[in-house]
Amino acid sequence: MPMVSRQDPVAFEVFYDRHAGAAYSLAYRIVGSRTAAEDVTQEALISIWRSGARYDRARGSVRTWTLGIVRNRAIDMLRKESGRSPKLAAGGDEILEGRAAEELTDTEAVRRETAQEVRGAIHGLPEDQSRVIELAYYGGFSHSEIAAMLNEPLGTIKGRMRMAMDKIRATLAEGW
Amino acid sequence: MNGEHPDGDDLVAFALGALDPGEERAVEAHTPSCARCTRELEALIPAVAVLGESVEQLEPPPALRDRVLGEVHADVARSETDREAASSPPPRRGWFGLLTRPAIAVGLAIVLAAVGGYVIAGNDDGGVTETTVPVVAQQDIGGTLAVGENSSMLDLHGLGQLKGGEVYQVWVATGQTLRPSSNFIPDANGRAMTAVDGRLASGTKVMVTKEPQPGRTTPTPPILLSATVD
Repeated sequence: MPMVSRQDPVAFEVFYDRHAGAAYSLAYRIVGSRTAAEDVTQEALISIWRSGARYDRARGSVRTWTLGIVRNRAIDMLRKESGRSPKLAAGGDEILEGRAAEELTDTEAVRRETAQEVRGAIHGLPEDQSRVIELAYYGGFSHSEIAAMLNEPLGTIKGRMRMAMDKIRATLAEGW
Repeated sequence: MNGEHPDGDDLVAFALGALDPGEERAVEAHTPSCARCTRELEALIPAVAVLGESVEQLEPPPALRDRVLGEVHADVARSETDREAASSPPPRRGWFGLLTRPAIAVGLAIVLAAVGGYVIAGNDDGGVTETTVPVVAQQDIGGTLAVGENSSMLDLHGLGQLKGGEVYQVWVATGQTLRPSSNFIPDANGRAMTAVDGRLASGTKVMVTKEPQPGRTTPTPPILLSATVD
């Protein structure tokens, strides 16, 4: 990141190759369209290029920071274009199945394996908890919007969010 | 410390980006000066990261790489052109006169009365120092100026929508010299990020005005936002 911060285009190419796949995947998961996901990814990565010095390692890894920016851009696009309704995309397995395994680079394969592993931490959540996480993180809804949508007290929604995050943290601590 | 501690549930919602805007601003204002809440938020980072990384992984189209890197190389070419242009002596424009005009004095009084919460954060990442300095803004407008070595970034929210050919214009004041920097248009939610080119020395003031069209060489009152580099 120091070289990206100094606007070294070669360093940015390396950054792109490391993180663009994850960025595009998250964008697609949120906006539900390949074209929109490309736009979100492009805007997010260019904003990083133009403001690379803002990375603060106290806020997590470069990947985490990058995905946070992508998520915010994607949610902004959802709000702007759909008048606030979320698009909760399906998993996308069918898209992956179309690719032969040998086409995947080593980095790509590792990235997908890691993603598959961490999905286990989320799939283990009770349905009511995974639902609020889904609506909040991937849908961009606030806790009060979720409470209104699900016709549940705000305190219930807050509690489910916290329990879900506690379980994910516990799963991570076990080393899944 | 700024305000009361948010409860644990609200910190979780904040980490997920699920607070309502007013609640979010309260947490943003409180956390930088509160070690306890900062620790709690940092402890949530890995779990939030899992959410971002757990989606099915797709291959971005090669054309996307071409477009992104094309923009990057165009930026590099532009900054080289700017550096060459800067080697000739820049025109000096007095801007203290602007500040002493009655309309501006009133504008600044409003601005200074509405200093909001802000973040000051240091980051030493391999020798690159980033500092975020306060943006002093009119009511409902807020943001930060992240100062980098060679360029800086204004990250703003609460901006009003523009009409016709209007743009928001960034100005950089050093001593008695005022130069226009980038201009920008906020998104539908009133948010915008824009780069401020060049190194910002201590004491440099970055300001934003609304201009009737891009390309103006003198600012139109009032000054909507200002930030002074420490």
